[in-house]
Amino acid sequence: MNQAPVTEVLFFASLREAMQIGNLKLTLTKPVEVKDLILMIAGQSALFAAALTERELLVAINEQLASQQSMVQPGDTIALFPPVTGG
Amino acid sequence: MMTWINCRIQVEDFSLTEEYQTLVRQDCGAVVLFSGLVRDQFKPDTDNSTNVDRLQALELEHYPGMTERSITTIAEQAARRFDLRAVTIIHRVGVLPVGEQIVLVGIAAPHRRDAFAACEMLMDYLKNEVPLWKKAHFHQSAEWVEAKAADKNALQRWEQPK
Repeated sequence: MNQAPVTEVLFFASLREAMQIGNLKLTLTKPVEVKDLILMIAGQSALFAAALTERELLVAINEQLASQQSMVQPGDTIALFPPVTGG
Repeated sequence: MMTWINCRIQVEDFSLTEEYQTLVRQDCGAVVLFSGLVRDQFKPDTDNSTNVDRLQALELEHYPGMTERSITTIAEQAARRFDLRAVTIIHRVGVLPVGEQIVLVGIAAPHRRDAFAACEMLMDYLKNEVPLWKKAHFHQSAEWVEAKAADKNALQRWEQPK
């Protein structure tokens, strides 16, 4: 039997603090859109739901900026974070 | 023409003199260095406008791996757009008290116009596309810095093909 690869979701900055966790590991059985992945995570708890809906979110898939409509493949590393403020 | 690109994320401070020396080369008539500093800012207390809270430090968080990669990518974009021979970008992370250097963008180019423009373009991209976040630590409180619409709008001038 094939083991589905682990998909890791990372959170940064104000989102990380609001989620009270830096990352989650989950097992996807098929590709999903980023926005649906966010809804799946938000469905886990009221805390996650509030953290994920109360701010604008940017997303990176495998360290490349992506959009809410981008497809996440099982085994990808996803990062969710607020708009960046470096420089 | 090849462009030498040197991008680093680090906790330690950097030396403008040393970075300048690594940029200087015989085919370049211009070196532009930009350094960003933690400035002294004040947060007015909404209940009592005479009471202001002074910034103590900025804390910089990043996404290790992606930050370095995205800084290198924007340096390569600048090198395709302008005639540059060397680009140095250093961004510090961690807790940086008021007065500390945060960021360095250094450009060596044959001519000053390319060097100035590339430096501005790189700062605009650093503020919009690189996974770095600032948290402002005041005496009494701390808060994440909000992204500014003006910084996002600044990207537009680089988006139309030259």
